[in-house]
Amino acid sequence: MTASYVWGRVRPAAVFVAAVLALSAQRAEGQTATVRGTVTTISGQPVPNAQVFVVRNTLGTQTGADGTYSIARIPAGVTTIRARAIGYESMERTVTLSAGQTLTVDFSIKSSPVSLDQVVVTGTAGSARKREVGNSISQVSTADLPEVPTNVSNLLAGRVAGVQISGGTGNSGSGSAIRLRGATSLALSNQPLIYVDGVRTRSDEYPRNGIFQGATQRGANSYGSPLNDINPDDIERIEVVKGAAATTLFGTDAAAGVIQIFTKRGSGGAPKWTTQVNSGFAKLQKFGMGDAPLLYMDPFVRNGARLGLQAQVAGGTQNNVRYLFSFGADNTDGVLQLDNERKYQLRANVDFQPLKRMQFSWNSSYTTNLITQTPAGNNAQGVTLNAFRRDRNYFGNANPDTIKLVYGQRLTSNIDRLLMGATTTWTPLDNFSSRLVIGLDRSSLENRNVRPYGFPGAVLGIIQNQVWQNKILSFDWANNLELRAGKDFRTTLSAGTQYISSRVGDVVAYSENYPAPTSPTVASGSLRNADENRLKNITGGAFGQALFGFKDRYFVTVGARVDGNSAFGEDFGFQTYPKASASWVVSDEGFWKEKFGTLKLRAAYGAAGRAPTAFAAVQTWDPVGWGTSPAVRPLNLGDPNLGPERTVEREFGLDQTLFSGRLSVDLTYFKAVTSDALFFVRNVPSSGFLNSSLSNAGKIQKSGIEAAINATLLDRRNLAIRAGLNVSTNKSKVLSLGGSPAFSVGNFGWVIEGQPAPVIRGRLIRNADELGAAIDTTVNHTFGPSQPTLILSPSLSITTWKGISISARGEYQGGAYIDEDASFQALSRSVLWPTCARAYPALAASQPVTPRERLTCVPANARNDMFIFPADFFKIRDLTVTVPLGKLIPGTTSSSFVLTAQNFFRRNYGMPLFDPEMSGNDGFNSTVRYISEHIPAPAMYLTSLRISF
Amino acid sequence: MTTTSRALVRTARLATLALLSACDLKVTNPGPIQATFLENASALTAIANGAGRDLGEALNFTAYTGAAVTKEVLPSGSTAAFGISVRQQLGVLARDDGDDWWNQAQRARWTAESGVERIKRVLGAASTNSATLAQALIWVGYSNRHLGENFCDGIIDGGPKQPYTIYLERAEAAFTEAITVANAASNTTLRDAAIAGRASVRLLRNNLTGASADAASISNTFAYRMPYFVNTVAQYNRVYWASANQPYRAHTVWGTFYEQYRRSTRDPRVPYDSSLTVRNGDAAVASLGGQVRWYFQTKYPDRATSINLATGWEMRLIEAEALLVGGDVPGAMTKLNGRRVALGLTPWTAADATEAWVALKRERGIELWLESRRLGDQRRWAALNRPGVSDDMTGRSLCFPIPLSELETNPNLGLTP
Repeated sequence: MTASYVWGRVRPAAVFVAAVLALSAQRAEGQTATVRGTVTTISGQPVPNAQVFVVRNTLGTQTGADGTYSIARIPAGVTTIRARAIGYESMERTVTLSAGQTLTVDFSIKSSPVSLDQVVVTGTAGSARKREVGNSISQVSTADLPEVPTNVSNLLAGRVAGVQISGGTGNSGSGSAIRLRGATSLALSNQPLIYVDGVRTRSDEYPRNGIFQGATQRGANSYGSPLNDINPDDIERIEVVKGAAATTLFGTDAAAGVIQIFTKRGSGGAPKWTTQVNSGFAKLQKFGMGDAPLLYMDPFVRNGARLGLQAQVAGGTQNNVRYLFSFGADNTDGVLQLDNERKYQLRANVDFQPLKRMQFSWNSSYTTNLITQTPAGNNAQGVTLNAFRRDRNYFGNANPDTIKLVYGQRLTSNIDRLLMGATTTWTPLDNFSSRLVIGLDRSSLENRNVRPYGFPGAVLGIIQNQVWQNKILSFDWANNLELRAGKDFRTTLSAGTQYISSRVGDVVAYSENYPAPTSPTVASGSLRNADENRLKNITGGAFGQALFGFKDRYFVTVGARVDGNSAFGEDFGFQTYPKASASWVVSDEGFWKEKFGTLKLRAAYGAAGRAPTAFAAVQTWDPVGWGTSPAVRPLNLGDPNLGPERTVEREFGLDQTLFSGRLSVDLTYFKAVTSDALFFVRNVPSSGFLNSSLSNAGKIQKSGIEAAINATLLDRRNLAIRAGLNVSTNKSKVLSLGGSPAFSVGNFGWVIEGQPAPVIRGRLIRNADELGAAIDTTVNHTFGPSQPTLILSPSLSITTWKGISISARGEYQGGAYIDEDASFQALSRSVLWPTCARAYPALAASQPVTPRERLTCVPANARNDMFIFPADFFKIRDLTVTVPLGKLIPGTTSSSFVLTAQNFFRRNYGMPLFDPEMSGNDGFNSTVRYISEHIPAPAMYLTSLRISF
Repeated sequence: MTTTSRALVRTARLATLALLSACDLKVTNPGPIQATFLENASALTAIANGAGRDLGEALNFTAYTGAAVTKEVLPSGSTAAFGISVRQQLGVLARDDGDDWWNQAQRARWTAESGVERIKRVLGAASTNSATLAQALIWVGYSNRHLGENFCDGIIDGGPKQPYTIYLERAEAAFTEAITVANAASNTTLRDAAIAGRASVRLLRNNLTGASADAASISNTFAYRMPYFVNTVAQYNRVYWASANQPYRAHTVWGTFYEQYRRSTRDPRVPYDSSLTVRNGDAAVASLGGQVRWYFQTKYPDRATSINLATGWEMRLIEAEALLVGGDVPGAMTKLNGRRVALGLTPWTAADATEAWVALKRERGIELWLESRRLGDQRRWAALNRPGVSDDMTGRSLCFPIPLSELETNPNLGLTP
């Protein structure tokens, strides 16, 4: 290879880079001034992370923790400066700047959780003001979070109406399932789509560290969440887009909703450093009863220490280059004795203007996360199962030292996540913009599962190594044209196209029988096995939308999305999803009195779809092998007419503020009907195909009300009290099964016409607690839904002297039922169980017991369908004290000290043991959760010292 | 054209190009085999093997659960995936406790029967002397025998409920055709496997003359076995795996007839190990008074030990039963003691026909121990009022009922939740 050849290859890139640098070096010359000041609330509290910028200019910055800001090199003359922050009304001040002047411009902004001029991203090319949007969009600004966020899932829990976060376990690295307005599909993933800075990312769980065949549960049986790879300290805000009416333009797979994460960006001016030192510990809370508050896990748990460091630098250069770099490191011990998570995160966000009318943004983040876990769950070689079952365990021995022999198994998961996005926004005309986002999300995982030589139950050792990878490549091109007719009419036309390619696959190597004690690799085993899976899925589509505005208070939006997906049956081709919405800012009408505050009425209609899984449409056979010989068996019956399920949603709501913004209400009613619903319809076993087959077999419905109420009860200089309440209801129903019989979706979940989707069905003990009564049970009783029908999330924040604040947030979930299988497994094995502490002596003395005691405490009577309980609970999600330290630490611009306790209180309403939020061995996409031999997620007690300089 | 128009046109062109480039959504994913690919002569071996594997897995399930119900072993505690459920521990086979057993047995039948159809369709006239077809027919025969011995009712391909004897009819027809095809293929192993299978089915159908005639053509040393493999857990011998300290210990020989019988006779057909350091089963069995001693069966000493489907010694017992029904007690005792003499064991003696029946029932229990045959024997003897009791089955199930998985999906059965 010659030098000229190499130069020829790299020259175009070099020329491009040089051109970009030259163009970016251009800057406006001339006379300039500096503006600086402080952004505070009406009561004088500093507002951190508020955006302060020069209107009709690219100059701008963000406030620090003390609310201060500074913008340099503003052209002299009459200039308008605007300050805005999520949860506050924006404020403008017009000033006249003379050359060389440094002017102080302070802002005192008014709290307004429902600001109609707040900008949201709706899936179209450009952002829109909230007043223009006809559907409900919730925003969470990290600047408003008092607590130390441990991960994104916890950050969202109990914070947004209609959002449910649940399903984790107490293992390190365990993630949670997210449901927006409950479950949308009974067969496909209900995880919402996740976009980070406009880039489509993985939303489904990572594969667990288990064995690929046979005793698959030989691991920790918990699942990691890709959402938790995102450093919560990098996040500026999160938008939660719920329901098909809002997600239409996101296209196929958006029916379960969309979570959009926007990371922080640099702002103009000198580098601003922010560091944060987090420390604390995790503690397992009581989940048993009586003399077994931890269900005999006491010898196997500890308080898990956490130490973390976050560092961020953000700023901008004089030639419009803005940057933000961040680094995060966390070392967290779990409460189980082998558990640990070591996470390192890097981010680089850079924005610049390569051309006069072009804005380029580069986002990149890298996370490496090494998770070590203790074997747990419904696993005969796990610590939890053997501890719960005491002397009836698989060792026949409750001695902790004996049970700890399972610690010989080493479970490590190493996650590498690279997320990159390049966004180019070209504005060739004042009223036309074109935006192209190219994104790559590459997540890879190595699960290593080693049982050493001499391990009980596998004395010659077993090892498995799984290398898994998911690569999502996305292109998103969107264009906006704004047209005006006269003073009152405005139209925004949007059109665009998306292409998303996802490749996921793994290679698993397994072996057993090492020749001698060794530190093994898979090559150490004499009996070897392997597995490989590869799956590619492509979605392509285009959308068009027109937003019509009149007098800036009447808005109508119509649009449609056309989508194709590689998993659709041949005959289905592209699918069209329409949408329409309207909003009316009533408070801008002449008849409206100012004392009524602001009011927007809105209505939306939209459709979204979900594609069936690959291979679902065709009849397939499974190449199973038989010894070393080839063999096949029936796998999937197939349905050539298979298509996507369509969810059509109608939504009505209002956004209102009262009492000068001190009270805000965001109220939404929604009703969604999924037609052609995909069900895993059970096949008749005697017809050969044992697996259920996907079929567009029915129709399901869900409806509910969501309300977010926030009130500023007191707002004085040394005392401000704010309270909030999120309320959401959700009622689902199976409208039709298309003639198919009712069917089970596992864990006592059933899909039955006229019942919730799905409903929990089992044995009802009608007189469960009547002492001495004869047993009266009903089999196949439909208890109720598996998803909560009511979620209440109250919050309270008190800011006192010197800005010291105390905030608390709780969550109640009610209406759901869950199978608590761990108790059945123990009781059917004659384990002396704490729920029977009263019954055992009574039974021994032939004294009366209750029907529940007779059925569950006598092992021969125990049946697995009689352990269904209400999953109702209340938790305090966090209690946080924030102490602003100002410039107490020399050399800093501001600092603060935060104390947080998270999930430290729980009360169950109906289920005597465990945490109704925890899960069994299943992952996030289990249609119905159950509880197996896990410990619940622990409480976290954390401190954080935040320093800006 | 205005600047605005030109910008829009340029953008529209680019958008169209991008849209077209995004239209190709076809994806070919590797993995499962499409059904159409199997219409191929080279795929037929895999079809026949698939039927064999399916039967192996089905046999696994009924062998280890049926053994506990028929007292070949006792449950020692484990109740879940590799254990014996609480009701099965009490000898009760319930319809809401039997999906896996039924499902796998039915799949084995369906895979074999549809395989035979496919082989005939693909090979045409060449199938008449195809060893692959003979093999597939043998799997049809044994999978139907398995259903007929272990299940209470007959269902074929989602059809209505029939007597369980429908399986036995289909088994005999398949074995008969297999004999013809194996002979044409000059495959004596497959021929004898079919003949021995047909002998056992004829016994179940109470065609003692036919059964005896078939049995007579099979030598003492013949054995046709279901192989098991160490490749994957599903291919392990489940009786071994569920009862081994791996860690389930779901079965124990403790407390059974075979425990004392083995101690007193050292009969090698019912071996177990009582000297293990792990002394108890994995949990407690309420019906047996708590935790029980774990005596590990060693007839299947490892994961890959095969299970007999038919043997020459079983044929001798078929001949003995035919003689006994015919009233020839001495002749029957000679036949049933043939194996005992060969093993150096004390022969059974019988003063009358009832004692001879007890001896026959006991000897079949010993010879076919843990081979998923006991339920069929017990039901057959009960139905035909054969005298004598070897194991008291009062209050215990004699077959697996149609489970909910079939009841709730088969429109001909009329049960919806």
